Amino acid sequence: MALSIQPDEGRSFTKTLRLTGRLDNETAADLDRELDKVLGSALKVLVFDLGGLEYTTSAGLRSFLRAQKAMRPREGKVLFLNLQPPVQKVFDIARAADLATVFRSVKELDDYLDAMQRKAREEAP
Amino acid sequence: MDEPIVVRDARRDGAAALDRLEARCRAEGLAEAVVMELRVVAEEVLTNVAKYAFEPGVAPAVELRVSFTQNAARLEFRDEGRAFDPLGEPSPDLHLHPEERPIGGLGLTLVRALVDEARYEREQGANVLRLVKRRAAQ
Repeated sequence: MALSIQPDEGRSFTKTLRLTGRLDNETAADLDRELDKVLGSALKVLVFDLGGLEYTTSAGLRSFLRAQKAMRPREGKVLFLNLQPPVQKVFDIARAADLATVFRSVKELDDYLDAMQRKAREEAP
Repeated sequence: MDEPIVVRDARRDGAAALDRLEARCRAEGLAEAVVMELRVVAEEVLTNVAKYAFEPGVAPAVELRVSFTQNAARLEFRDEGRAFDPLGEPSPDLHLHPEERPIGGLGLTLVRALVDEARYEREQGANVLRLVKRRAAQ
C-alpha cells in the first residue's frame, strides 16, 4: 500500500505534512522528494501528522532524522503529531524524536504553537 | 511448513515478498500489530542482505520460510551471499540527540528489538537468520 502525503499550511512559517499509509523503502523516497520541496521554503515549524500512518521502517526514520537535521541550522523545529502504537514503538526503540516534540492531539500541539508565537512576539524588538 | 517465499532479487522483489508474508501472517490470525511488526522486520532484513551480502551486480536472492507454532511466528531468511552476521553489527548511539546522530544503522536495531529471539548461523555457504516473534505482545 502506498503512502499519501498531504501538505497543509495553517500558521505562518508552519507546514504540516499529513502522512497516510505505510512508510517503507519505497515510500520514504516519495517523502524525501516532498521534504526537498518543503525544506526549500522559509519555514520555522514542520509538523508530521502521523495519525494515518500504519507503520514506519528505518527508511522512514531516516527521512524524519533528515528533516530534523535540516531544520536545526535555521533554528526551526520538527514536531510529530498522533503517533499510532506501531509507529510509537519504532520511535521509542530508535529514539527517533525528542519527547518534547511529540504531541498526542491537535489541541496539545496548538497550545504549544500558540505559546511559541507569543514568546516570539515578546522577544521581537 | 508452507513453501518458502523466494525473493530472486531483494532490491526489486522485496515488496511482493513482504505482501505474501503479510497475507500468511494475517491468515494465521496474528494480531494486526504483530503482522505490521513482522513486515517491518522482514523489510529490514531484506534491505540489509541487498546492501551488504552481495557484490554489486549480483542479484541478492533470499529465501524466506515462515512457520507458525501455537505461540509464535518463525521467520527463517537464507541467502548465499558472503558471510554476514546482522546480529553482530553495533547499534548506533541512540543517546545522541536525533539532530546530531548519523543517519543510518537503525534497521538492524529495529529487527533486534521487535523480535523475541534472533539467531544467526553460517550454514554450508549460506547466511541463515532465524527469528521468533511471539503471537501475544509481552
